[in-house]
Amino acid sequence: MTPAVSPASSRLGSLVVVPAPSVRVRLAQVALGAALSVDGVAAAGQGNRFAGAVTLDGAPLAGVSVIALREGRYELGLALIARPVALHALADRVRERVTVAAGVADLGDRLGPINIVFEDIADPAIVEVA
Amino acid sequence: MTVIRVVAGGLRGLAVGVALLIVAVAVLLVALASRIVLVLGFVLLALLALVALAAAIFEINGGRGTVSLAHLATLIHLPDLRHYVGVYLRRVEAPGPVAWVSVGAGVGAVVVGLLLLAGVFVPRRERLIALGETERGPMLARRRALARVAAALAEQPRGVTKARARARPRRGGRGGTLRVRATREAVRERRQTEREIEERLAPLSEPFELAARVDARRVTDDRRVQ
Repeated sequence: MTPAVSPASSRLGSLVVVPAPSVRVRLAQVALGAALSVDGVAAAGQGNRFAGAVTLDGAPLAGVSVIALREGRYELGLALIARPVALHALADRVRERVTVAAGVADLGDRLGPINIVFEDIADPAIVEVA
Repeated sequence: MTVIRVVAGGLRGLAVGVALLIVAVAVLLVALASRIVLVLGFVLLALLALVALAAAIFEINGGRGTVSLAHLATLIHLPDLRHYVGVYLRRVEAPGPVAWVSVGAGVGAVVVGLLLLAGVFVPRRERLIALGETERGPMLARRRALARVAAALAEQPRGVTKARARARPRRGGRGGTLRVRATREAVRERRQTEREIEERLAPLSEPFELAARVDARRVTDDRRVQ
């Protein structure tokens, strides 16, 4: 029986070589992970509000888009579903967390503007929104 | 002279009205094109299937028998139709008013078709509401998200039975408009209720520069029974 080989990888003897994800994909993964870890972010949105949707292993990465800019930097788009909290402060926290996470992943110098879209509010029965 | 001027003014107004109506219909066609095409496609396919079924059934017998195509043509009055269409086609071929009406109708049909195609194939991008801008990038929100929050806030004042909200972005700028339609108990005063709703909306409308338009109508008796 012929062993199944992933199209994204190749075999050299018994060694499986998997190509490293691009900077764009790594930045999308890091940013999305950091954004979802922020208290006040309920989930990722559909993320098709910006051009530059990111796919990972053929599947779209929901809630994030990355567009290459000049000088090796990337513009990030995050589509989020927020909990009923102050949205300005939440956007600041998300940007801060993403910036820190990108720095830790050695992608700090690649990070450009971070566009944040609140696609929905998880539970809109709220008082504090600003 | 005065009468002529009045008539001319009236005609001019009528022409402007008709032009505005045509533009409105065109915009509506483009906006609803995908749905119209969906419904039209379904209806036309169903009709085509029925016609094909009838043709298949009436092909069982040849000649001029009861279940034959010739009899089917007689049943649906195709010979009469040929007579009327033939007269019309002869008028269209000849120079005259019918020919010009036909040209106009043809051009109109082409324009409507092009508008429908534009509505189907030109992608529509949802306009987001800009909530703020920092040096690290903008903060935006979908209309639906803000509308849901606004509706939830508008339902909080005492006496409000239901609230619906719509959010629209401002063109080329930050913020936009929040339109809230609420129903209130009959014993509640309208202005007071609207003021209370506006106060509840303030945490949303003021920092994000959303102009609140509130309409608190009295709940009708039949709704109250429901």
